[in-house]
Amino acid sequence: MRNKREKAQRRLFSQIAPPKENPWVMLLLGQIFTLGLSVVTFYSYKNRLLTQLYRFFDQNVVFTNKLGYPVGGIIHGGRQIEKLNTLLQGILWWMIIAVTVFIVYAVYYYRVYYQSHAVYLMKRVPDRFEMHRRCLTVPIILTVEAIIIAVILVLYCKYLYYRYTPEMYLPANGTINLWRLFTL
Amino acid sequence: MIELFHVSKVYRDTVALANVDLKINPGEIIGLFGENGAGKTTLMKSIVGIVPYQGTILLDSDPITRKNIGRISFGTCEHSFFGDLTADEHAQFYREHFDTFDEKRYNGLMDFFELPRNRKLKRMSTGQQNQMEVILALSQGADYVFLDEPFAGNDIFNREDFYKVLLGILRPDETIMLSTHLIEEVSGFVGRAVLIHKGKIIGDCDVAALEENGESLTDYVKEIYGYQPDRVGKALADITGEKDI
Repeated sequence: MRNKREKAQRRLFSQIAPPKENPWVMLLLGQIFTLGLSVVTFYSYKNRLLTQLYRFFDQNVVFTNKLGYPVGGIIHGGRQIEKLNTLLQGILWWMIIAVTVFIVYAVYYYRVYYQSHAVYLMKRVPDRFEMHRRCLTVPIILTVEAIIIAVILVLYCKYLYYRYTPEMYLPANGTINLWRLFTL
Repeated sequence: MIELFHVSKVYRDTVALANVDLKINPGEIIGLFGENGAGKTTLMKSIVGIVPYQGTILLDSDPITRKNIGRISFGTCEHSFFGDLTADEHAQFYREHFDTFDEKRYNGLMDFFELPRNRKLKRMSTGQQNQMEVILALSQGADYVFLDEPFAGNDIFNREDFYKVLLGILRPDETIMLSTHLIEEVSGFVGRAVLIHKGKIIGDCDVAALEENGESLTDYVKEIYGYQPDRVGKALADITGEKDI
């Protein structure tokens, strides 16, 4: 029973890349690439966000603690902090690069079949998704991972923004325009 | 039975198949003949589902889909295998995807042709690669095997061996369609000859019946194609200016 399950698992994993291509290497490289880009971006934006908050408080709030956090009393009335949208502009630029690399992965995998005419064989196997599964699984897994990382990144920055900005300084419209997050 | 009704295929401005009607019965060994570009390969690829076409192709009255595609196999001189896999790895691939994979036939043919089981196919000679392509097509366990010029690059002894082995191993209901230019060579092997020219079926005959009438397959093909025996002489006379060539 256990043997059968292991065999089925082995087969499943062997089918997520063209024959002789190691999907784990591609997955690992893709993950390192995604994480690397996102971590670098995260640190740069976290610092940018906190710096902006600090600068705002420094210029507009009279009573602050040692860390520069407002402890009461204003001030230059009516001033509001920049919108989160503006502060996070371009925070997801790395996703464009990452997804482009994953598309190249898929093209490379399809090329394995089309260049060798093995596509004739793949078009004859009873499972119609066989070739597409082998070509698209790794890029899709990596893209989903990148999306999850991106969501965590944006939510964490949003958390920092709202956590450290007193309500009275928040701009009226705080919605995030997704498109702006991708454009530098 | 495989039936083709009004099958056409056009590549941009080139007609590869023009309204082809054809029936392929179980147990037949068919030779598909025609000049380069006649439409032999396109006809086979249409049946196998590799190229889209207009018209209808049925397998035992059902359209050919992924459900019944396993009953058809295809071997081509273009080679549809993975160069980076060994012969046995291919066998494993076929085993995983085709329930009908014929282990015994695969092992028998591999041993007979003394092919290396653990060498990557791209490291084999062209002749060995052709043999592998045919062995895999025959071992799939399909009812209908289409072989498109499978022996281009193999020597005559090798080809003859293959015909003999093929005749010996085929099940009575197994169908082979073989496209080739080697008409004389396969005349003793095929039971039916289909001639294609400019995408149209221009001849379809029973080889045994031809022989009973004292006609050879080669003569039949020449007759259908309107071959002019004095064509070469005329051309040489025109070129050289000499009359008696």
